[in-house]
Amino acid sequence: MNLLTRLAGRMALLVAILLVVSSASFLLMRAVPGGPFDDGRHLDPAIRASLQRRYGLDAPVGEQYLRYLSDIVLRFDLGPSLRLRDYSVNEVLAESLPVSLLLGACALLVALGIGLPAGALAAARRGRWLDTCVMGAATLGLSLPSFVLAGLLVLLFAFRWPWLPVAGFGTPAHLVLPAVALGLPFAASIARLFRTGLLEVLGEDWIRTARAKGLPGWLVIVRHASRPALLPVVSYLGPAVAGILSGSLVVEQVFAIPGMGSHLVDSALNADYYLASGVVLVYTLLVCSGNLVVDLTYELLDPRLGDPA
Amino acid sequence: MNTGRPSTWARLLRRKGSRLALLLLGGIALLCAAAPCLPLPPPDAMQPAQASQAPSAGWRPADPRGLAAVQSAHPAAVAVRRALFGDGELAGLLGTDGLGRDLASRVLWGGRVSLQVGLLATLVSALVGVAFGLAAGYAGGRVDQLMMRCVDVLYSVPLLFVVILLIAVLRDEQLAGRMRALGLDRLSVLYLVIGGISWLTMARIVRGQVLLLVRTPWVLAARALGATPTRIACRHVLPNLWGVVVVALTLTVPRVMLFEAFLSFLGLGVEPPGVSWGILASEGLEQLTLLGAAWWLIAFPGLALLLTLSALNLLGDALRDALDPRLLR
Repeated sequence: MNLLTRLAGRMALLVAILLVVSSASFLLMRAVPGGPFDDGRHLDPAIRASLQRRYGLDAPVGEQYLRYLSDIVLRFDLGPSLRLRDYSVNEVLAESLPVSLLLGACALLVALGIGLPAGALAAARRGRWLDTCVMGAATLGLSLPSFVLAGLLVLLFAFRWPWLPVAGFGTPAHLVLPAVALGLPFAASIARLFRTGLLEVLGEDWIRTARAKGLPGWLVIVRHASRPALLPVVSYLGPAVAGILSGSLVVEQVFAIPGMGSHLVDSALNADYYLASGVVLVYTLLVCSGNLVVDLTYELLDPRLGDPA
Repeated sequence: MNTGRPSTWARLLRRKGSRLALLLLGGIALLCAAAPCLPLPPPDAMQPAQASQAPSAGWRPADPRGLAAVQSAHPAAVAVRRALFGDGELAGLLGTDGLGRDLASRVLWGGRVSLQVGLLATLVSALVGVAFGLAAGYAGGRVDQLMMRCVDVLYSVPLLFVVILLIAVLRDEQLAGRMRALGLDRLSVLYLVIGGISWLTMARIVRGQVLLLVRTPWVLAARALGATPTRIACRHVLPNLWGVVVVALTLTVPRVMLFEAFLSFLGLGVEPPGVSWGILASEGLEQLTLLGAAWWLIAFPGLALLLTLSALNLLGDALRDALDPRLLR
């Protein structure tokens, strides 16, 4: 019951956020003098007039706003793309969303796959040189912008040792460098959080009991210490998902990956307002639902948070 | 005041890490600030004959036209430069880019813009955040609840994406013209926008601190003596906030600098021929994918960003430890 009320509250917040973002994007589009279609260089007057009729831009602003919202809510119709001829925003998204999701998922895997073992190693070797090295690297990784990291990776693994493709999309090999460039800074944070969590837990009595039973050190960490130590990592995953999604704007640009990020940047540079606001709305939805999933997972993982009944 | 306790400053300087961070930041800031005084080629002087050269320093006579261009903007600095170094210049210290522009000079001039945007955006965020947090914490009750609920909603909105939309709209020629008429060029729009979305954490921290402060004996005493709310807020609450504000500020600077680099990298921030570290990294990557081996074009701007950001992060953490309220009690 308690969980359900909280879930309902979160859904209400999600709706509020989407409303805020779509209203903001509508307002921004209308703030452009002449409206989103007023660009004589790219559209001839007949097409512009028919577009304006189709999207009701001759109607009063209030009615336009309601229509914009209801199109999104009822039909999930985000409008036409102004620069990509014959494409609607929905079609662009249908092509690019899976690409971005795949890249984001791989980056998250990299972040967890490198961050967790690194954190565990550092905690197990606390105070030794391995700990110092891992934590030093993690501290640097926190301040390294993803585009600089991407550049260094390309320099090393595409030019110095030509093992991987420089850019593009299609084969699994194309995904390696982008996923690492995108995921590595988050691996740094995860390693730090996991190490701190483990060190707190490793002093507890029940860990000593596990050791006294004769369990090897790594098994103590994997089986006993990691569950409570994972909690700070899980709560960090919400911001991490948001960070990976925003980082993908840059990484997609660097590696010429045809995902939503590239479309957002191009549409922002080319004043393709419908496409830009559609992509922003989808990103918002992704970030918020990512947060929601992470928070629910957190409650499932931590028995202390749930209601006792 | 409280004797026997070493000052925050002394506690900060006792740590090796924070001394190193301060030294590094001071050095970088000084070099960037002194860029017009240093014997380097102008950041925008193209020399196609020396395009894409690896780092190799060489002293040569300065091009008088380039020097004159710098001089018109910074007359005093160029006078200092002439007095100190004569008419020569140190070319190719960090290599040159695809158009033959000197990278060392571009990194320093770009640092001026990056640091300037970072500081001004942080200032904007501090003004908004402190005012908002002070108002919410001091008003208390319903008003406070409502204001903080707004902050919660804004926190959950991925503002970065909305900001890209905002910047896309502000790029419109007519709108940009109207902004210029108001005295807002692209750079000021940039730091206003970045600062405008970075104040949420500051507002939360300040509000929390204010809620503690309004219950202190001296605020109660001031109220009993009949001081007006404005006077209490400005005279008794605000001066006691500086510790948390300074920590939050130090940690905001690297975030907004990263944000500026991010936007400039995407082509939505500082625009060429302006230079910032984000622009340099973006140009470096472009060269990299075209030509391959020009490693210095990405390595040095990246290094500048990395050093500055990690020094700021280190300093922020050290300041937080030095000001830790648990130690102050």
